[in-house]
Amino acid sequence: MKILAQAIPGNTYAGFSRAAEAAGHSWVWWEERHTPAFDAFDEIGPELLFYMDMTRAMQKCVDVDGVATVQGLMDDQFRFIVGDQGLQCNYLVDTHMFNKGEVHPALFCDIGIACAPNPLGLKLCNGFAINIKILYEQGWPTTQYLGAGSLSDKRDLYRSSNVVLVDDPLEAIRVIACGSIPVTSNKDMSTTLLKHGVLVPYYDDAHELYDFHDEIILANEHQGERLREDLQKTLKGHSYDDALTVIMENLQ
Amino acid sequence: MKPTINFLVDHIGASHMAFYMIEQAHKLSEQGKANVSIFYDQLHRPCRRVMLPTMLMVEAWAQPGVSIATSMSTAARLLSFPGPQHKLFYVWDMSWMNNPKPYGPATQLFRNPKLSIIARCQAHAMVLENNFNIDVEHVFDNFDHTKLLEAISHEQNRKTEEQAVA
Repeated sequence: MKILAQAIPGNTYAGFSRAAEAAGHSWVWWEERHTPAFDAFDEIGPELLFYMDMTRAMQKCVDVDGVATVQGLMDDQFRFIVGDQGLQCNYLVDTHMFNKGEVHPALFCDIGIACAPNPLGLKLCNGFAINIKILYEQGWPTTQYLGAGSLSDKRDLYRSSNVVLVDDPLEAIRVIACGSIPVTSNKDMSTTLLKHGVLVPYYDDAHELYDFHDEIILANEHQGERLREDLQKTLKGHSYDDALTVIMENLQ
Repeated sequence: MKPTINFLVDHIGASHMAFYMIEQAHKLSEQGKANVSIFYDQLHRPCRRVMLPTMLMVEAWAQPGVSIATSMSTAARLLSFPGPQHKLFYVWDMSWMNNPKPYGPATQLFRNPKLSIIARCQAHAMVLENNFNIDVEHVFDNFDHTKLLEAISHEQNRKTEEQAVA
């Protein structure tokens, strides 16, 4: 299938592009300011359009050619309008980027942290003799803070940590996709994800989290492995590949 | 044979680091235990009288012996110098913690296998080991010249053993 995607700052559709190419579809990026809508549609002849803001020219092309559309709301939230049917997918992870892989020797640690400073994280950093590494855009007032990492740095941290403290639903799903265990001190985030079928352990006490890491993950390898497998199962429906499959099914 | 020891510093102006580095370098030189030189990046008025050869950093490029970097910038330059047989990094401060910063450059520097790390104290060593997953073998404060000679001797022996194995 020929897919045309509006090139939007922030690389919003990068996950879909990799999923589409892996599924054997033809994916073309369209820079609206360089190529007018009519030329792009004439040249590519798309069957599916990924867009953010619909212009009048685009709407006309879509109506004339009978092209199905997918509208991106945010980086990880998409609304699909296929024919007259509306669907929505939230918290999608790019499994072509965030997946199980080799442990990174420089980032190997007991607890990885990829969230803004919070009381639980600060207590862990200051009160326990465990290896902690922090990668986040916002600085932490602790010695374990390594800086703001790129997406691939964060992926390496997730792959190399036994447990990762997060406060964002998308990051939690990425951690699971990398084969690690996300935990959070953000109750709202935990509840939000639970509504979407993903369980992220909630902790507000540093001792309890330390015990969870020490006794369940480290001391009992089998139990830790089973927990990781259970978490992996909850990922179903939260990857770009799954979302693309839903779109294709609805198109047919 | 006396070892040649080269200190690479940002400057020898008024600072805690420069004061102790010059003091310990004098001791090494006075006791005849090493041929010591200091290479600086920026020209400052020395914080104390220097009775040793002091030169611009560019001169350290082909200087043989043991070169000791004292900051991240001098360590990065030391790695590109072909002259020194042994490259050490005396981590005087935790400058990489200054925010904001990107992740990567500090990790690449501290994990470079050509560089042997020396920490000032056990607390610094723990931070280095935690953040970069490296083993800090040498820990001593204020450039203690006897410990420094021990560390240099240790590094020389290790390199000899590695060459013998190879």
